[in-house]
Amino acid sequence: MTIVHQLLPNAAPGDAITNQAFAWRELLAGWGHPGEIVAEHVHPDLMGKVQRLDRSGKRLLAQGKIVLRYAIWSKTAELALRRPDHLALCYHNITPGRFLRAFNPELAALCDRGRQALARFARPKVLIADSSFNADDLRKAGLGEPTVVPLLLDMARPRQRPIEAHPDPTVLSVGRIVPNKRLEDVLKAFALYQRHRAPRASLVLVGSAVGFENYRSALERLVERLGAQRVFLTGPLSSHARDAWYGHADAYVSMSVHEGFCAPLVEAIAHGIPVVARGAGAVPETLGGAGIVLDGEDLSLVAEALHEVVSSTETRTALAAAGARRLAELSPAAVAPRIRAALAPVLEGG
Amino acid sequence: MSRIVIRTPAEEGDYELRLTLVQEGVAWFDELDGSGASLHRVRIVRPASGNVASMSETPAEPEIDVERLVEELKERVARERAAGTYADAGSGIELEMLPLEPSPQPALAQRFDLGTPGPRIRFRPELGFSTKPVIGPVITLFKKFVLRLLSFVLDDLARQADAAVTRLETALSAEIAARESAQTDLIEVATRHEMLQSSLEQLEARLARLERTQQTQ
Repeated sequence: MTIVHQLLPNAAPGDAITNQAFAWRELLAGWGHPGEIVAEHVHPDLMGKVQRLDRSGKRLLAQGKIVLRYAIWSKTAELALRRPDHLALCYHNITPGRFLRAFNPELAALCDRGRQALARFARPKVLIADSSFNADDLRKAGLGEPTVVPLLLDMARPRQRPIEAHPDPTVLSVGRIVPNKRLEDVLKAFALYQRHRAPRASLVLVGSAVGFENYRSALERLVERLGAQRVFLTGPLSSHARDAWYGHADAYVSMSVHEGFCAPLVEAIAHGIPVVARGAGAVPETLGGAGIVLDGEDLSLVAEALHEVVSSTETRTALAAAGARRLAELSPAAVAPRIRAALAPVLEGG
Repeated sequence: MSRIVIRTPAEEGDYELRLTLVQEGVAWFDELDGSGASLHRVRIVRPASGNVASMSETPAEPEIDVERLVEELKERVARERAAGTYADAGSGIELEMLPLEPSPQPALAQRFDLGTPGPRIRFRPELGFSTKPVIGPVITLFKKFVLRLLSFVLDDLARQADAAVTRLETALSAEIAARESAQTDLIEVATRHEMLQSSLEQLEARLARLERTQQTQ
């Protein structure tokens, strides 16, 4: 029985990486590899479920194998890399600082530091990337050939939704309010869609703007200048309230220019929402043909694609079918064996 | 073309048939790469007579050629543009860069350098040094003794002040957390209200349609 602990910089409810750590812990325990989740910063709601990286946390890590979840620079990486023979590095990608610098230079510097540090890492025993896009970063850093394993997302079967077009459609985008999501493009495309195709359409942006409050303010000013109506920035929501918006939406839009995987795309598919997205980063790979992928340069085309997925029964039906196929490929039953095969060198190392 | 004999499950129903290869003792191909398997949705049906169940592939779901659809959309947008629609696409309205807000101040306790180990008051024996001839060393010794006593008293006062500042900050943090939590709850309530409002409007529209239908009948 090999003990496998997972190490992450921050543990918070609703955070995608924390959710992955919990899902993997359950999976690993089922295979007879118990372990703890250890984080440098632990949200008060997770106290007791996640071990803090204090003296006892460090003692824990010295005893078992470590899965390091790497998504920003933190001292967790320094600590884990002291034992590369016992380490599985799971790379979730780090947003390049250039996308963030104008609004949060401190975080941009931390992100750049995290990316630059990859090249100085000792080669871990196991190298895992969420997507081929992320795997390229690891290859470029000279860390070797990673195994691509998508995120472990336990999605319910795709929801059966009314297939006819809604007269007052709701367009949804979920994710942190950060500049690399290019929400200004989402607003501009939506303004065109509302002006020319669906005057009673609404746009809902769900996500926290912590650290990027000035970006949110700039977006709110842009809404006024574009003359768009019924645009709602909800701020952070509980998973229940977020799912309610998924259940209400008629189309999902993403104009992000950098994504290492983008779990909300899969969530949208699971809720039966047709997706229109810019084909940047790992987005085309994550969608796997179950959404409309555009280069995002022509925002009129984005507006027209929104109109198509909202109004065409045929397109909605075909995208729903493609979504069901994609969900089967990303189901825990399909992903779990890939995780096990990827982790085999550390699990079998004793 | 190869023929594969498969023992079907005893229960009727829709199943997923996954065909893949294995290198014994190493791995299944699809465990290494999800595309290394051939997936089929099959329906198992037990005939009215006989014990052997039959298997047939379930009807294919509609396929979508996204690339072709995007090409069609591009042509449609070009036609719409020629007709004057989307003329405002390049309106030149861009995101305005707002001046960066100053970084939040570090926590009060950090600014006061609280919680650091060791004494809060630095004992400086050099302050008790006397240059007087002959009795200087005695005076120095006496002054050092008094300074040492004072440093204990001052250190105790400093620790009491530390504790007061820390208590104050804890109370402030709790209040900030409570306010943030209340704000989040408020946003959720507003969101739900918005959704209920929208549902109500839809229901009203449906009701109006139903009333119209009834009137026409």
